[in-house]
Amino acid sequence: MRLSGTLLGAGLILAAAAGLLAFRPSTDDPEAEIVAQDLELGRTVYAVRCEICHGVDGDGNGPAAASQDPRPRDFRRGWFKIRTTASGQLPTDADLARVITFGMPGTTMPAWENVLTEEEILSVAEHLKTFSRRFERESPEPIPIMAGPGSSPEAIARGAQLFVGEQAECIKCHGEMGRGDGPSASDLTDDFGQPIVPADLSMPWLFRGGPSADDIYLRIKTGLTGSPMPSYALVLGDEELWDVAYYVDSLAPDAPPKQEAFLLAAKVDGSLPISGDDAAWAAVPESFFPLGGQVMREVRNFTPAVKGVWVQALHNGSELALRLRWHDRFQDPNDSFDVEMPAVLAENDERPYFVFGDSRKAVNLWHWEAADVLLEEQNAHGVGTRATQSQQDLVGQVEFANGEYTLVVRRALNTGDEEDLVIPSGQFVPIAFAAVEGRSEETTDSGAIGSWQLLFLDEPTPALSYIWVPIAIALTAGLEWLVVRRVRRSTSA
Amino acid sequence: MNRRVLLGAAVLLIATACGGGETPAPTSAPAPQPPADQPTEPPAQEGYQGGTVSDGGTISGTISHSGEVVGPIEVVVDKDNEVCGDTIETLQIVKNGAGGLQDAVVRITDITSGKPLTELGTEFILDQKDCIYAPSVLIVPVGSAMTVLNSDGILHNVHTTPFDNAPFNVAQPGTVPEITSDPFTLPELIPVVCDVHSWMNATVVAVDNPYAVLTGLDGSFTLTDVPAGTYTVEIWHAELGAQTMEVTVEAGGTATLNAEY
Ligand code: HEC
Ligand code: HEC
Repeated sequence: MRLSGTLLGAGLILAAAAGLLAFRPSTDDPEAEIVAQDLELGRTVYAVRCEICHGVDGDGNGPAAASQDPRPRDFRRGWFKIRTTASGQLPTDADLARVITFGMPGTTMPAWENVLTEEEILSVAEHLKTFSRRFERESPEPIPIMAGPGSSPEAIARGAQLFVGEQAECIKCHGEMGRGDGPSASDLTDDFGQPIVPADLSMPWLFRGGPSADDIYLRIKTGLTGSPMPSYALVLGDEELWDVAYYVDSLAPDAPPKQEAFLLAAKVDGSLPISGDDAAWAAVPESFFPLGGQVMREVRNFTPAVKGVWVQALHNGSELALRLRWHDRFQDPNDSFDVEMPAVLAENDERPYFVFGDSRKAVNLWHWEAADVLLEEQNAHGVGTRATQSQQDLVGQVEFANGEYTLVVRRALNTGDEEDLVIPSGQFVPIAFAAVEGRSEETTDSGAIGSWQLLFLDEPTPALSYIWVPIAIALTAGLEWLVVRRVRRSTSA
Repeated sequence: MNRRVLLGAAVLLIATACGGGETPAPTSAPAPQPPADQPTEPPAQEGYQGGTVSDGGTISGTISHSGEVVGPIEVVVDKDNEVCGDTIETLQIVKNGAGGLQDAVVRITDITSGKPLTELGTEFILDQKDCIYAPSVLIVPVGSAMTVLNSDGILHNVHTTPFDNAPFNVAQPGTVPEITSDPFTLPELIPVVCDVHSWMNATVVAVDNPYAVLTGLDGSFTLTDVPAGTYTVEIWHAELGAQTMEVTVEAGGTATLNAEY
């Protein structure tokens, strides 16, 4: 590999974009440096850190590989997603070092930057190259790239046009709003034959190769080899590629919204909205709560389809209304959603297990199911123990468009039903959310779920909420510390 | 009890942390098997020598199919119906009344010299028309690229998954009537798919010698200017798989090779 001018330029831009200056070859002859890498070190690092997923032979079949989605990469074919090289070409050494350093968000591939030294990362990258003979035959070179001209409303508008228009048709896979729900999204497989879905472009923090406009530009230009995501290098010019990249970049912030200390339900006068479109919601702040897999109870699910829920809350002194918004690529009769609260508030703030309660402490579930447009109050005291309440008190409305559900659900604060929690105001109430994407064979108990959050129904005196904020923060922090401490104790026991 | 609950909470907290890179607890569930087809060792590149063949022989014959024909397989089109229609019928096996099998590849796999590789032609065209590939099997000599046409005016992507050659996956929007692949470098059978239209698939047969041909409508084929000798001939069909035969060609003579599936 010779360092040409473009290559060096490309390397510099990339390095700057990714904060990767450390990997820029520091001598004129990178080859000599690489040869000097201790292959023995690479082998050792691989055996200790990577083998459990990627397998002894690099076949992606390590002992921990089962049930991972996407599966750990089989290195024997030389298929790599995150590259600066043309479609199908092998990655450069710097590409490998980068992806090992930063990991692949949204997958089980860890970021190794705080675990391995730079030398270890370069050595293990060298070891990975022994798994495919293509590395002996081919010498990958970065594709020529253009530095970003800078985003602007005009560039974003042009990008939007390309995204939906016949010049790029990204919508075929990614859908009108970029939520990964296009007409071709449902039957995609990767090159290993595993099902795969187009990225939800409104969640760039889960992009495999990073969320920045520079990352997005490179992914569109080079494609993600081994996946259906094609390279547009042959068909779009660099200006156009940047326009599309800036459009995708404009769809959402790079990081997930910061989680609020608690979910505030402001008090309003009069009746509460029932429709998701009601203008009343416009003034209500929205909180994002990430959802993840539950791995403690059968059936385990490491990477459920629904990644989070945006929540708004209002009350009027007698009723609570929640507006819930979540992304689901494929509308399916088995789609469902749960809002979870303890059935009773314990004096000592002891909560039920958040995975649908436990044998001593029950939870109330506000359960919505796409089939039969069912909205039903259930009680549960653990996985598989859901029971429909005899008295039903929920009203709601649901809508689905462009890969997104919007559900409004309302219940009286005090229903008079002894199975129901009396939702107090001026006090923290644990609340949790769970979502099932029916198509991916998730069941009501094995979908995405989040840990307990705090709901706070505001009292009329506005001053009160100011007092509560620092207390809530302190409380959450204290609880976390408690959990950590107890876990430490129990693991050392 | 309480401990387990808390441990569960901690594990979930880790699993829900945004940004990925989480390591799940190893499980003891059996790992699924890797794809059965392993990457092959790249064939030793002796390098095929092309030149003039004087007094070469001919191999000709018919490939036929006696089994039952299943199909046509009907795909219900659920996207781009204006262009692709409402259903697409894919005939997996095409044969004439006498059983002659169309679109089987007949090729010599172990020949080291003979007529020039350019005898196979200089342009190798794969068209995307009515949301299917034409032809469905394309023979391309190594060193040559393939030209991909988009006669449909809608987005296709051209996605290959070879073992030995570099793969590629490039978008071809309706505004781009023609693109060119990288040249193929090693002989092998290479699947081509379009992810936008999951029913579309074709095969590129990359060959390192010019003795390769597709059977015609009646299942017949002819390979000409074969230097005298004994060769391994592989017969391959996308649905029916491969079989190999030995054939001896005499100078100026015609060797008959008939094969049946
Ligand atoms: C917990 C499991 C796990 C461990 C441990 C792990 N990986 Fe991965 N790795 C994955 C998964 C899963 C993928 C595939 C992600 C995808 O395809 O989107 C992957 C993909 C990769 C890729 C492909 C990157 C690309 O551009 O496509 C590289 C390189 C890699 N891992 C290197 C390593 C190295 C080096 C180590 C050890 C230091 C390691 N991995 C440890 C799970 C793991
Ligand atoms: C044939 C279907 C298809 C088309 C067309 C397509 N994509 Fe994708 N795209 C995918 C798939 C599938 C993934 C997920 C790949 C993965 O998870 O490894 C993806 C991932 C992405 C990502 C995330 C990259 C990362 O680092 O994880 C971005 C950004 C993206 N696509 C943008 C685009 C844009 C912009 C266009 C149009 C110019 C486009 N895609 C066209 C299928 C497609």
